[in-house]
Formats: sequence, C-alpha cells, structure tokens
Amino acid sequence: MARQWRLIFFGEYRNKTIPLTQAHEPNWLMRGPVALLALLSIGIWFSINPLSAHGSWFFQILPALEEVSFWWLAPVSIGLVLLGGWIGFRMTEPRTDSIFVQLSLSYGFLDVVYYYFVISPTRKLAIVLSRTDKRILDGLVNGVGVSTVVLAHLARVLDRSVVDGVVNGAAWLASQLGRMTRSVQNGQVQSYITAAVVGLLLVLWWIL
Amino acid sequence: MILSLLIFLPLLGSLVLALLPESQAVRFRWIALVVTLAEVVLAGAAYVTFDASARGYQLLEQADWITLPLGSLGIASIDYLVGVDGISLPLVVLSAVVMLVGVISSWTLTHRLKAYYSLYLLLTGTIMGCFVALDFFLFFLFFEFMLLPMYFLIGLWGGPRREYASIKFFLYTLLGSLLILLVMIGLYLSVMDPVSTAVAAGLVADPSAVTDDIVRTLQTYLQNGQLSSAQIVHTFDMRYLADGSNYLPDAFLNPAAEPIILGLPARMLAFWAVFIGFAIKLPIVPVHTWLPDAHVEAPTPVSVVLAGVLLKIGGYGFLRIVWDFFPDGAAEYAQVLGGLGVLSIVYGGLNALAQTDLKKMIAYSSVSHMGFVLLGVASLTAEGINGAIYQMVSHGVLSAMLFLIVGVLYDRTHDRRIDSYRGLMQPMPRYTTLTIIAFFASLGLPGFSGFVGELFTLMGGFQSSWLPGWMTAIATTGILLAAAYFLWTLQRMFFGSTWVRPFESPSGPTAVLTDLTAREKLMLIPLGLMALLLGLFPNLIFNLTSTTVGQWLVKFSVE
Repeated sequence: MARQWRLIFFGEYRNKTIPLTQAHEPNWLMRGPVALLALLSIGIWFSINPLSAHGSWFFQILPALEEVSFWWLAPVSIGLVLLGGWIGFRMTEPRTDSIFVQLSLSYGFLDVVYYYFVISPTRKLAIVLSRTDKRILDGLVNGVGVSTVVLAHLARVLDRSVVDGVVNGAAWLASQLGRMTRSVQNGQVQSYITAAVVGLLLVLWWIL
Repeated sequence: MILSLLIFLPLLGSLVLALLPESQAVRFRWIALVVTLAEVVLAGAAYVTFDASARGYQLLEQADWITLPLGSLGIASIDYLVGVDGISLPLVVLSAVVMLVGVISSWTLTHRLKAYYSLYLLLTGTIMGCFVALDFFLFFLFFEFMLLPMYFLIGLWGGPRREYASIKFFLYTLLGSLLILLVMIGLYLSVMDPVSTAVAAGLVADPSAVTDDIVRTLQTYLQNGQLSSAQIVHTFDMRYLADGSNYLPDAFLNPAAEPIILGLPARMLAFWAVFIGFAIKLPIVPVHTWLPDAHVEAPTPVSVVLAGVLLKIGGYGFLRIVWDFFPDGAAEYAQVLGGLGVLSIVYGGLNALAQTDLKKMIAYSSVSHMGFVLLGVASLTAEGINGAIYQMVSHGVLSAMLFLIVGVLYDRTHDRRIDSYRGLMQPMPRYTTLTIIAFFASLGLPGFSGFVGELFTLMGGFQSSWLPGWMTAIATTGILLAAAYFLWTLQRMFFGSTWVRPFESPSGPTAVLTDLTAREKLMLIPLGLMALLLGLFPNLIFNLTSTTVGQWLVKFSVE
C-alpha cells in the first residue's frame, strides 16, 4: 500500500494517455463518503489507547469471557506495519525479468498449470468421448441395424432358393413323375398284359 | 373422473381433429390449445384435490376390462385402473404444462396441420395414461402407443436426417418395450389378485366386502398351497405386483423360489430386463444414443415434449415398476446402478462439452441430468428419491426452456452451430437474458430448481448406506462440467462483438437477429418463473412426494 501511495502521488507525472491538465479533484459525491470512511477508520473510535483495547466501548457492551492478554501483540503489529510501510515506500522499481516479479505477474503460473493439466485434458477427453460415442456406441447400434438388414436379405435368398426351392422341387418332381407314368398308359392292351404279368411274377418272386 | 378426463379428453380431441375437414385448418391449433389448456386445469384440479398426507393411491378409478376364465390355469383379469400418488402427480402436472407450451411452440408450423395436431393430442393422451395407469397392462398399452405419434412427429416434421432418427428412436424403445413385455407376462403368471381371488374362492360375496384380514388369510392359503390353481385370479394390478405375499409359491418370479437362468436367478434377470427397458427411455449411458439424434432431428415442439416429458417416463418406470416390483434386485445391484448413474452424469457432461451443435449439447446435458435421477433412486434414501422426482420435474421445465431457446435461434437463421454466432447480446438482449437464466438454472445456481434437484440427489448419494462415498463425489464433477459447457457456450455465443456466419446472413447479423416475439416470451418467461418458483419453494414438490416416498422406502429398510 505504501508503494502504491508513492507511485501514485509522488514523483513525476507518468500517465501518457490522460494529460496532467485533465486530472482534477473528485466532486463531493465521491469525496464525502471516502472522507467519512477515512475518518471512521481511525483507531481512536475503537480504542483511545492504541496499545490496549481494554477500555474500548466494544468490550463494555460485549465483555470478553476469558481475559488472555498478550501485551506485546499491539506493539509488534504496529511495528510490523511501520516496517512494511517503510520498505514499500523505499522500494525501487523492481526488475521485470526477476523470477519473483514474473511469478507474481502470472499468479504463480497457476493458470498455466490449470490450463495444461485440467482444462486441456478435459477438453481432449470430451472430444475423444464424443468420437467414441459417435463411432463405437452408435456404430454398434447402426451395426446391429445393418446386420439385421443383411440377415433379412440372406433370409430372403434362403427363402427363395431353399424353402421355396423345396416346394418348387416337389412340384417339379410330381410333374416329372406324371410325365413318366403317362407314357405307360398308352392304351395298348398288349403292354397292359405284359405289365400285369411282370408285376405278378415280381410279387410271386418276392413272396417265395 | 379427473384422471380419466386427463387421458380421454386429448384422445377425443385427436379424433375430432382427424375428422374435421382440411378447410378448417385455422382452427386446428386453437382446438389443440384449448384441449391442452383444459389439461392444465384438470392437472391443477388433481393437484388441489390430492391429499399429500394420506398414504396410498388417490383419485382411484377402477372398471373391469377383460375377465377370462382359463380353466385350470386360473382366471385372467385386466382392469381399467388409474390413480395417482406422490410419485406420479408431480409428473402429471409437469406433463400438462409442457404439452401446453409445446402447442404454443407449434404455432409457426404451416404444413400438414391436421395430422400434426391430431398426433400431438394422441401423444398427450398416451403420456397422461402412462403416468396414471395402475394396471401394468394398461400402462404398457399407453407406453407402446406413445411410440406411434412420436415416430411420425419426428419422421414427418423433423430435420434432414429425420427418417434415420425416427426409426432409431422407434426401434430402440421397442427393444426396451419387448424386455418390459416379457417381464410383465412373467409377473402376471406369478401373482394373484387377492381381492378377486377371495371372490372366486367363495370367501366373500363381492369385492367390496374384502377386508385386510381376508387378504392376509388368502395370502397364507396361497403360500401353503391351499388354493387350487383354478381359483387363482391372475392380475396386472400394480398394487398387488408390488406385494411379495401375492406371489404364487412355485411361480417363476417368486423371490423364494428363484429358478436359475443363464447363471442368474430368474428374478434378477427380470430385474435387469425391465431396468434396461426403462433405462433406454431415461436414457442411461450406454443405451442413450437414440437421444441426440432424435433431439437434433425433431422439430422444436417435439424436442420440448421429448426432453420435458418423455424421458421422465423412464425415471417414473424405475420408481413405479423396476424398484417397486424388484426391491431385491435394486438392493443387490445398488452399487452398479449408482455407478451407471454416475457414468451418465460424467459421460453426458463431457460429451456436451465437446459438441459444436447447440441442440446436441443440450441433448447431452439431458443425459447428464438424468444420471442424477438414477443416482438418487439408487441411493435408496428419502433425500435421494425425493430429489430424483424433483430433478425430473425441474429438468422437465428447464430442458423445455433450453430447447425453446435453440428453436428461437433456429427459426431465425436455420443454423444451430455454436461457432456460427458471436455477441448475440447486442441484437437480442431479452433473448440473452432468458438464455442466461435458463443456463444458470440448469447448471445448478442456488435459487433455481436445478440446484435443489442436484443437491438432494447428491445428499442422498452421500447419506446412502448402499453407495460408497467416492461414487457420489465423482458425480459432483457433473455440476462442474455443466458450468463449463453452459458458461463456455454463453461466452462464445452471446458475449463480444456481434457476428453471424456470413453465409447464413449475407445482409448482416441485425437483419435476421430480431429479439423475442410476444409468443416466444409467452413460452419462455413462465418457464423461467416456474424454475425460480420451484427453486425458492421446493416444498411445492416435496410436500407431494415425501409421504409416498417414505412409504415406498419401507421395503428397503426391512431388507
């Protein structure tokens, strides 16, 4: 804060985009609340003695149950504030190539780490899964669909050539048989007698 | 009377529309609007009449439908039986609202209006039938019949690949139905209706005289084999299918008998069959691939109905049928089921992140959000189950809103690719505001309904003694992923300087990108308000569900 204070209010005017002539005091609409807040942030409103808050109105209304006092706490913290302020005010412009400055500027490179180790892998995984979903899972579903259609075509071929083939074959066989036996029934008495005698002989031979 | 009207009013409307001449085309949508508006009023009446503190089913209506003496095989009985409880009533109200919004969203449609609205009302009736039917046969009838209007609504009014998407949707769901049908027949053969059996066995003169004592006596007779098989009345009544004491001692699906098929007890096999049947509908990874295609190809109103209502039938089936009839299976496989829920949450979320099509992204986000429903149900805790029902209602409202949002953009440019747009906020501020509300509500911002649903299902998961804690811990990444894909989309499409793919709009973005019309606001604003209302007053749902869920869970506390 001390460094901010020095950089903004001390030294040469540095802002190149807005000339010095345009810089002006804020109006009371802004100045009033800020002044009020500044006034109220002074320590005496809380406790007149900066080193001990024992007399504070706060503890009169809400008395602390356990009285554990570290007498050194207030002086040490005030001392630390003063030391920090002094360092900040005296600090020279740091070198931008220093590793601490770089770390601080890029939030300790955490964003980079998150990007490469969390965001990027998640996005890649998402794309891979989306492809898997489309190709493998949906491919499986479509594969089942396609193979059902192929099976249907096979069944059609089977039905036509084998199942129907048996039916047609039976019809064909019947007609062939009919054609063969038709030639026997030729109306000649001689051939009928010959067939009857041959038949009789065959029966006799089979019986004997 | 209310429930029958809920089913038959739209069916009648569908018939009237089909009979009206084509010259009356201007009236079709008004008829559909009036009918769906009446449905909202009827559902509201059911909500008001319902006594949330009472146990069991309410608004019951029963009529004999099919009674068939089968000689020594007993008596077959199918009833027209409808009723609601805390599980189905919230979904009935949700359906009525979403179907009304769907009609308003269909207003811009210009071709084949008669067929469209007739099928739409047919769909409305069958959906209502599904949620209120208490006879498994009746439920299955509506469940199957729902496919028909849906097939045509996607196949005739859909996008370029509509034929593929519609047949895929149809076959997928039909496969699921087939599994459900098998189990339904198995259950039917295994269960007796104690009330009708008491009459058939001559214990009482008529069904109204049957008391709980007589039912218990009869169940004892049944278990001791004192009833002849000719006296047993087989039933599809869900109230009796859910009661283990009604199972015939030597029956196929009796928990005690347990014949082994394919190395699994028959009941476990039946459990998985009926689970897969409904998991396809919800959908659960890996049987979800019909959903992105169906959503992308379906016209906006059909997407709204599909995501808003149809998916919920899967979750409803879990609670009403899968878990209730097979509590042993649900307990045995609780970890696998919870794992499938978590898989859906994470897998769906990652897939949504990778999509370049806005509608497909929202379709995959549905997969992710439905995973929470399965996780909640599988947790077998009061928080989980109440949360799952709540999540279904919340997702019904929000997914309807999200698909309408895609529809608004698609109507203007016929392009849904996310990278075709930038800086939509400038020309379409109201549209952007409502999109932001829908996105934030979906990703689970406290104050909106999405948050409550996810919170309670996750709480259920963590409290569950059936699921390990790490499983639910993984599920929470689903919320993170949701934030990633919704906010990334918001950033890419709505922020920055305005730009639209020049091919889509040669005259510049402002020419096509007009802000919301009054009709679009009429759909989106009430849905946004509903999401807010449900988020601020979750008891609107929990008051309805908690008694039923408590009673429902009794089975699982005994085991």
